[in-house]
Amino acid sequence: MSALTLATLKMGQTARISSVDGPAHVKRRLMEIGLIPGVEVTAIRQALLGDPIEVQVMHYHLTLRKSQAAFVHVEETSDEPAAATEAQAIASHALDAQIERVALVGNPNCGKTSLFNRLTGLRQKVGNYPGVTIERRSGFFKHGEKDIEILDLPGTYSLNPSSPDERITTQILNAKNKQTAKPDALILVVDACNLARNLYLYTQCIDLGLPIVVALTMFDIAEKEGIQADIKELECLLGVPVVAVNNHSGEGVEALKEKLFSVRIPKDRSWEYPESIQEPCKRLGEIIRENKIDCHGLKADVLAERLLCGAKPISEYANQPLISQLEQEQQELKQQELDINEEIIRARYAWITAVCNHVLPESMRQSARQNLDKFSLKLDSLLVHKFFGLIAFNIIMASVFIAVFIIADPIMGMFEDGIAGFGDALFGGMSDGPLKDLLLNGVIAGVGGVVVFVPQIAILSLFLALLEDSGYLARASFLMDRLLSSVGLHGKSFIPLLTSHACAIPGIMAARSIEDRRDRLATILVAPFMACGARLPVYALLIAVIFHDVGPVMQGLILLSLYVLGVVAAAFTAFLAKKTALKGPSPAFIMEFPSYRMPQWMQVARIVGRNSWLFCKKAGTIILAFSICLWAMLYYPRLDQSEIDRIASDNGMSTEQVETLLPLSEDIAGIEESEASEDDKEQQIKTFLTEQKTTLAAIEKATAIDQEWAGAQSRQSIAGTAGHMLEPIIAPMGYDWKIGVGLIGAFAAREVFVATMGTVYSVGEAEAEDESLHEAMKNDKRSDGKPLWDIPVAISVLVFFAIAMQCISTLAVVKQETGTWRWPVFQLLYMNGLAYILATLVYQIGSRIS
Amino acid sequence: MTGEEIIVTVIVLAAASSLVWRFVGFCRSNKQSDDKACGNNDCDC
Repeated sequence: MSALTLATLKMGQTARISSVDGPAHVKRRLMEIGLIPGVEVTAIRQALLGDPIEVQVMHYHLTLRKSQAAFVHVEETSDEPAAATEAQAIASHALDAQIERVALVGNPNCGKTSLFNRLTGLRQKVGNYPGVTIERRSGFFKHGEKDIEILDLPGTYSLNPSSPDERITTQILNAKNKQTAKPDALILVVDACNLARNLYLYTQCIDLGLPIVVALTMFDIAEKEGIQADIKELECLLGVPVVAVNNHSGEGVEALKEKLFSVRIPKDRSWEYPESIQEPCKRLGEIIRENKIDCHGLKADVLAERLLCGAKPISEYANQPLISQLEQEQQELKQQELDINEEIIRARYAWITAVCNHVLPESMRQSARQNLDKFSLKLDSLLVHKFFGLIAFNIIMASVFIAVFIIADPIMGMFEDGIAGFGDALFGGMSDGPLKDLLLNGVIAGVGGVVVFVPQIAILSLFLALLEDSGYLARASFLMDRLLSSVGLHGKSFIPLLTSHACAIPGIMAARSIEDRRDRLATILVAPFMACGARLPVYALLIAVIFHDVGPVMQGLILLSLYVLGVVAAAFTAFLAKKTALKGPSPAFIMEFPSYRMPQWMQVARIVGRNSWLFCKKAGTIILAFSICLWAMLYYPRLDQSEIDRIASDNGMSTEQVETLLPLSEDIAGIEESEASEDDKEQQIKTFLTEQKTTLAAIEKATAIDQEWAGAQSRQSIAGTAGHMLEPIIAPMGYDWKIGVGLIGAFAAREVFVATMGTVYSVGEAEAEDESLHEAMKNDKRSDGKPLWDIPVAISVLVFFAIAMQCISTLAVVKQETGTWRWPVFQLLYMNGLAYILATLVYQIGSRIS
Repeated sequence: MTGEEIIVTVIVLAAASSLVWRFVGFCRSNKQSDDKACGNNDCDC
């Protein structure tokens, strides 16, 4: 065995793979994705601290940890090309079948969902990284009078699944009957840029005995790179129809639909295994046939092969002769020191190599190697560089958050003015009473307070969509793997964690692409720490209230620091989990690098539109309902007239006097806000007071009495009473009852906190209609006269929101993905406990320092 | 009770019922869910 391995290759060095070893599942995965003996491989670069590494194999780029690369033994290349077996043309027969359900299968990131959208007219999310689709989706297209169901399945490199998303695909393809979603035919989506590796899946799909049509995607990109496969020749060799489709223009899609109705079942495999494997398979196959064992649609020889290499559990076939024969065959193979999986993969790839040699002339393969996506290579030399890559990553992330403030700020101002103007225009003319109060202080203040954050949500979604669609995310996973592995996570955790910045639910579901169970659980456990879109309005509101005079760049950096806080909490938690409950060996990290591409603007616009719409929908449903209920809880029961009179008389005025003087304070505020000089304003106020026959002191006293009325009303309201009951628990964090009510509301949806503040400060404050929520919060005081929203309290609230688990939907998805309530209950207790402790520490230390 | 108070009561009761209805619906759908949370990558759960 060669001492030189892929891990020890110098960067830029090319070598030929001589053998592959390692644990069975890692070895199989390495070989299935193309790292097979005889193939040339080039080391491209390594991440910071030397791990993981990026390599080029066949016609694509792959990243893997050095611990896995060490299993791939290589030898220096000679000029002689690797031997390839000659392919044979495959005979096939046309199928006279009733096609009702068709499954789209293929490698990750080969364009399945784009084709699904083209075929069905649906708009499922697509992205430029492996693992976008993590569940089965279905849609229909019409063929004559008939509705044909199309299933979009998660991408997989082989039918030996190594992660839950791949398992979904294999379960459906191996389903026993139509009731369990078994398709009638397959559209095998093959990336024309990477024919060899994609065809490996074909060699497995033909074992299923289903009719197949091959859709050759990325044909235009392949042509640019000098790869022009001979489609007729490919069709002849595979024995099934092959159609080139362009997912962007839709070219070839109609032809593909037509071909679906002349699909063929490839007659048989065209490659041969060594005698040492063929014979045991034959013997097992005979037993299967003799005993009439149900093969669930597979041929007896195929089932025999699967049993022999352990891909199917023998427990499914309770047949004693079969079990005994299998044990005997496996024992013999062990004695011969023969790795059946390796032999099978090598035989399949040998056939694939021969097919590729037929459909791609040598000169074309040579030029393709030279033209290999130069743009991606150039860009990678900066963005994936071990030092500059990390700097670029930090600059990109910081720019996103600064842009959220710089671009959104003026738009938000327009939204605020528009909503206030809308409320006044609609309800301002109504006579005072509970209905006007409900509409202005419940609906407009509550829902409007949340809707103003739509620009920030849209801008954050825009940048995340651009990163997703450009192909950068897989690179970021490569950059982050070393850092993530130091806290027990995984490079593949990066995409679920980044996705969680929009919403934790798709992030948690995206963890299905992580092969190792412990890593998947650790990722699911920490994903809710990522600052989701629902936290953004809370962060933005408090940053604007407390850090209003530091400028948008600084505000952006403060926002970024909150996102970093979530990441740090996640890292800490993952580290703890991987040292205790999820302790285990370091798993493999193998990930394909997609090519960079210009984002598809329609797709980006769709994501931004959908996220903004979902946010508005939430504001118009849950938040609207909650704001109305909260308004009622703050408005009722009303203060007795005797209590109102008592408060006024205690301050030396009658209720009538206060009510007469109150409107004058608004007139004076109007004069103070005018653009006249200070002297002119003073003169105008003096004249005004003389005309009204009153003094400034009297108006100020009336305003103070009004605030006392509002305070008394709030205190004795249902929400006030509940909030006050909470005070002993939340007082260590520095919160008063209003924040307490906001925290309870945030368990319905985090944005409700903003709506609650909007309603609390509108119902509770005398001059609310004239001041923004920011101003009202800034001016709010405790009973001792100190400002409520000082820096320690604001930071304490921010920390609480950054850490706490307040989303019931997320808990439900965690239960669904982990299959137990144990993890969501743990998350709820752990995250909220940690949030309470940290928020208390922040307030206690902060208030002592300040 | 004045007409205005009746309108306010109806609105508040409708809002409260909608929240309860959503919560009950959420619990039910969660009980029945199979291999997917909400069928979409972007969800509004």
